[in-house]
Amino acid sequence: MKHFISKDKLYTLGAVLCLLILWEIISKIVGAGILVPRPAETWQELVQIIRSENFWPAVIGTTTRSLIGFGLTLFTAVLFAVMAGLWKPLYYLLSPLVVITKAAPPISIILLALIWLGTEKAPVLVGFLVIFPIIYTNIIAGVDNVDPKLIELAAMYRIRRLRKLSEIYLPSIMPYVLAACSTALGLNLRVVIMAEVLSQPPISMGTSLQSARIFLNTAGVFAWTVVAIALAALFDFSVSSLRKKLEVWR
Amino acid sequence: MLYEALQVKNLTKEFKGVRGQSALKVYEKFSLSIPENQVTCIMGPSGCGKTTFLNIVSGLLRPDAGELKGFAGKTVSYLFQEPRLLPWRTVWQNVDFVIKDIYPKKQRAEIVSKYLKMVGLSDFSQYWPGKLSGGMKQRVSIARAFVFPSDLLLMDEPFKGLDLQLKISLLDSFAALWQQDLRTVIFVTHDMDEALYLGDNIYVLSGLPAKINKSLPVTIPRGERRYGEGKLKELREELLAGLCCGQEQPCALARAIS
Ligand SMILES: Nc1ncnc2c1ncn2[C@@H]1O[C@H](COP(=O)(O)OP(=O)(O)OP(=O)(O)O)[C@@H](O)[C@H]1O
Ligand SMILES: [Mg+2]
Repeated sequence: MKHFISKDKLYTLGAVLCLLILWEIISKIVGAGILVPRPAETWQELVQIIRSENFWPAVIGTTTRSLIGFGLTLFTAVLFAVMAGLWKPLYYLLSPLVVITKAAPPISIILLALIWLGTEKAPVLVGFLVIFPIIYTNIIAGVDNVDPKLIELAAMYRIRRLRKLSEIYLPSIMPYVLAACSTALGLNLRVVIMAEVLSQPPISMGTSLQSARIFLNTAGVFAWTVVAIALAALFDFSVSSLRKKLEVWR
Repeated sequence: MLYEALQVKNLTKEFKGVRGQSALKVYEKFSLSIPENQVTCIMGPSGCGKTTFLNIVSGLLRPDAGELKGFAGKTVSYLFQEPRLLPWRTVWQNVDFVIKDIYPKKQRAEIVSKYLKMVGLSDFSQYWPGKLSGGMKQRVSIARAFVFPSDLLLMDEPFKGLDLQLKISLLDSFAALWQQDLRTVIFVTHDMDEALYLGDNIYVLSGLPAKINKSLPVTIPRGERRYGEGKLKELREELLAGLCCGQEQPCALARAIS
């Protein structure tokens, strides 16, 4: 097993290397750093950005906005999904709202959030509106897919309600929640940064991206993108390790 | 000895047909009495309504009409036709699951290990159900049904998919356990030898709606029964006739197999 994993990693490393070479070639062909900066340039810029005093505040600010939004969304989505699962009228009441927010272009949501809220809070709302439908519908699917035979079993053996919830419903829904989290967490980060570009909080990754663009510092845009990707990868890693831990029984 | 009996009277149950199919009347004015503190076996061809009967008796399924006398308020252990284990709980936890609210922890540990030993799964107590064979899962569900202290024990083909040696050992364990508390048991099986070995009464159902085709009391004391041998062999002939009657040809095939 171990052997295969390391082989897998080797392939990934090879793919990344190919991509870097391709990038180098393209930037050579284009021949203008302002359009496509070379990998080395981007690396230098990245180092500079990381050394700058605003780096950590920007990363932490964006991460915080992203995680607060995510946590808030997860909480409300679980709450509403469970209530809607237990009480059908709420389900029907929510379904058009969910369909609408799912179908609305993120940019409309961003513009509306900017109209309604200040620069700091707007990105959080945007994240909420974009990922709520995803998490909510996933959990609804999870609730619908709880095995009725296990519910019968619990009824037969007179299992108390709270244990039925924690030992049957929760473990059944968990895979759906975690799958939703792994999509939503990364997506949320991306739309939060997008919203920051437009709303311009004083210090944030989105703001930094935008100012790099304004100063025609394309290497800076690339470098901040690398930072955002790294952050998304970190999020993804956290969720998948949590998943491994919670689903040992698979 | 005279026993009280649980009564099923004039039971009617129909399954609505889906997509234009005609409705299926599984029971119509069906009556059966289940003596308390005895093992009642129910046999019959696949699809004749045995599981449906257990589902109705256990309260999982509502009959269209009919009366269930003496079932109200009774606690029930139901060994379902399929194992129904919680995939996110270990073998141990799956058995423990049904007695968690009933006994203190120490007592539970003793009970669970005793029953896991009985079904031969002591070494697998920390396994996830996904890592067990079909017969092993079946044995976990047997242990789970047995640990639950109920008035009524319903078993739907509990010993299917097990090798003969294991089956006989479980039949003996069951007989010994049953002797301790004389629970009322309804035991559905396709295996004549199992029914003859454990049962006090054997009912053979057939047809749709189901009728009692044959009713066979087994009066030989349990201590004198030998699995598939001796006096049980004569009863087996009779039971076989019951299982096959209603067919034009005498059951040459079934005879050949047996
Ligand atoms: N929920 C249901 N909806 C519709 N029809 C059903 C349902 N449950 C059972 N039936 C039908 O009722 C009949 C009896 O089913 P049942 O499961 O009771 O048979 P069985 O005697 O237990 O068979 P087996 O020995 O194969 O387990 C079958 O024809 C089946 O198709
Ligand atoms: Mg059945």
